[in-house]
Amino acid sequence: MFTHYLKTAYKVFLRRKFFTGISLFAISFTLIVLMVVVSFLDHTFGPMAPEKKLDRMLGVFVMTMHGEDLTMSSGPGYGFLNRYCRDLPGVEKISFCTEPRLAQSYWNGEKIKSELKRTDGAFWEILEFTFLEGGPFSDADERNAAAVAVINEATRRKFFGGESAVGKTIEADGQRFRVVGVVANVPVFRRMSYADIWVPNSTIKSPGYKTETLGPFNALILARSRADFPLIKSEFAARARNAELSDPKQFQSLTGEAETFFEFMSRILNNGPEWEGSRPNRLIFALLVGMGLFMMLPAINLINLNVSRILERSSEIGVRKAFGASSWTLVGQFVTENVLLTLVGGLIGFVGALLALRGITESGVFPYAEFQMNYRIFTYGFGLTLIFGLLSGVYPAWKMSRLHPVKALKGGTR
Amino acid sequence: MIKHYFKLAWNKKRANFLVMVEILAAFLVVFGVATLATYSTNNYRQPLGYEWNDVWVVQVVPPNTRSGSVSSSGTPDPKAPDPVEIARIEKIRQMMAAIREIDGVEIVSAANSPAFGNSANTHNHTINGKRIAYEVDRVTDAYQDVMKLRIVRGRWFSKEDDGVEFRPAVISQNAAEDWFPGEDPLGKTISHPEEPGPPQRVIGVISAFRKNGEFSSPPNFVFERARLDVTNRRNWAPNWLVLRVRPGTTAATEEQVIRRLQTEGKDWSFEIQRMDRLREEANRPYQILLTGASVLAGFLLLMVGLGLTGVLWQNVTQRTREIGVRRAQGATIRDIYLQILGELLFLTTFGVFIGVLIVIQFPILKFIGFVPNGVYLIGIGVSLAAIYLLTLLCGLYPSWLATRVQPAAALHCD
Repeated sequence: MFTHYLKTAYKVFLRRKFFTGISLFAISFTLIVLMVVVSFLDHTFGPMAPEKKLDRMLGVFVMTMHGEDLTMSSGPGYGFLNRYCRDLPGVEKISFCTEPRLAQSYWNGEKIKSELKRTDGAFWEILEFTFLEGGPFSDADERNAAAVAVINEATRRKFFGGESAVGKTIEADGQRFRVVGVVANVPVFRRMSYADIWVPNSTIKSPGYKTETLGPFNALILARSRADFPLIKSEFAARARNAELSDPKQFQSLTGEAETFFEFMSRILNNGPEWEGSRPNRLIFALLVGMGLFMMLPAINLINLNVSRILERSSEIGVRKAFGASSWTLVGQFVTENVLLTLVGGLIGFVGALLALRGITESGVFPYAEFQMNYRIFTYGFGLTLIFGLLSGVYPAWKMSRLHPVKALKGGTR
Repeated sequence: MIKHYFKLAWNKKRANFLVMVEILAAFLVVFGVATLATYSTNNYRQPLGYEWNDVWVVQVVPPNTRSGSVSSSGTPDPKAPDPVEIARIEKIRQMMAAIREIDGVEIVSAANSPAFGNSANTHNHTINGKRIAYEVDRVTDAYQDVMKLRIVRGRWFSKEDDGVEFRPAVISQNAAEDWFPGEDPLGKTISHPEEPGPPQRVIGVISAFRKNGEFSSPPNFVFERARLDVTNRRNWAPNWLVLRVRPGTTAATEEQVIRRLQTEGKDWSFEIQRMDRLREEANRPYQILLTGASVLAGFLLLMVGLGLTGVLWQNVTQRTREIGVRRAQGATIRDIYLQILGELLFLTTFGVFIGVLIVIQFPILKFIGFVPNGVYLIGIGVSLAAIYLLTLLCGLYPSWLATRVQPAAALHCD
């Protein structure tokens, strides 16, 4: 029976090539756009090198100090983190690192711009960087304020051309560092790990950061398992509440949360950093609604086309009905046909999305981003295709199945 | 005749409803993009108020300051002058003197949030029910010559202001028109009467100051006078140096500037940027957004256009007999054209009518406050024209097909 549907569908599609063409164009265009969006989301939130253990990772990205007539939001400071967060329960490893900051170098008369991140030894154990040469620096380097740096491939090329960099010295923002390792480029979407140059925290130019409650830092937490998340979160929140502040005259309390990157983003997008408690479901919902709205116009377009083509097939429907096919059978058949068409469109969409993503990668608008297909994007894309097929197929199919056999056989118009 | 179209359309209300929804959705998409484009061109054509060529900005970061996403509300503690702040002001004065000596550097000034500096100080209060909201920067006297600001009334800051009992302010023309319509703004007070310290009075008006570039919306802008030669509790150290350099000055001079600054402030951090590059970077997101939105809308419209053509084509084939009868009864080709296009225009009008009802809420309810009403009206006009043009184009081929119907053949058909 199913093969029979397929055969009929194939014949119908070939009969009116113009219509089939329009439908395929609409479907594949819609899916290209949606798949590019999905791919962006996946590159921002999905687990990907070096953030492979994302399912066990929490971070502290923003905290807020409250005073009587002043509130201040920023990243946590090293002083607070070092004093209160070293021994959080349920934590396998914890790393403190700054957000990347522009650092300029003058090298043989040329200016090199890099993003510089300061961090510690644990950072290299929580995140899995691909080392092209050399290796990471250690906690001992961080304790001794060793002027060492890990750089990425692009930075190696800018400073040393194609040559090996380990052991050589680079300059950034007036400081000199000995290169100990070179890693593969990290895309700009990976906010926790992205930078061009990584150096120890202790190389910060002045020691004041050691006592700050708020500052330019983030904490990256690798939990023993996901089950420890609630424990870590509640313990962190409690310690923040009871922490002693660096500026007790102006500020009385400190709040902040250990959260996943997705939770952090949903908080920022929802209401800004001060808003207590994140609601990741809301962000997911907003994304789904956005995609749904975007799909609406193409879907209506396809519905219109399909509906207007019903009558072309009225005699077929009449015959099938007269010989006892139920409405449900007919609905099944037409939806199958439409889903089939959508799948073909989806296939074209995949190819188109691959090309579009390659174009975006090569345009260099997003530093080091390399959009590649993976099974997650494929699965989502396939899901979207099916949803789109059903969305645009059910109403016309229902309408078709309602044709009265006698009228249909006569070639009726209503 | 119109009544007749209405009847014909009403008889097929189900099928027509979906076509109408499609036209409505297409209208909304075009409206969105047209409004965005109008808003951007509108902004782009207004004067910038300064010249960005051959201007360099240097962000100077003193030791132990927080960086990252700091947002604060309220006022800092206005007690005694802070010794740390006094030392910083002194240091900045030395730095400015040092780089003034470098060959190629023509004028040196200091500011708190210069053009394209991605930091902003906003201020708002209400005096006698009038909302005074503005963006503010505190700059040294040389800033006018560095940025080539054009004074349209009064004067810029100078030594004359050293002994006065009020805080002098230079405001932008749009702010003057906004706050003092039809009056002479010179000498007017803009600070809140209950604000501590001397009142702030307007001494000059500049043509404009659009800090974030051509695409940004023009803010009401206020300049305050920064003095590096006095230390009081209202004075704090600027974060940026803004220099005008001789045309054609190269990266070698940039390096000299940075090296001099690094010798002056060993534990400070510096970032030097050319304003023309900053401007490009600031404009790029707008350009990407505009191109992206136009490309997407273009494809969506192409899709809608093809879909509509298909629907109408199918429609005409179904109505061969009706058209045949009309032709036999003496309807001319022109009548047939009018009928098909008339019905289509009727549907379009209905769709866009609902669309206009929806989007007119934007200017009425002021959903997005900073967009002027005229922009919406142009947006509505452009999208109306686009949709009518689109449906007309879609109708041309099918209605031509309709005119080809031979009465004899049509009536003969089974």
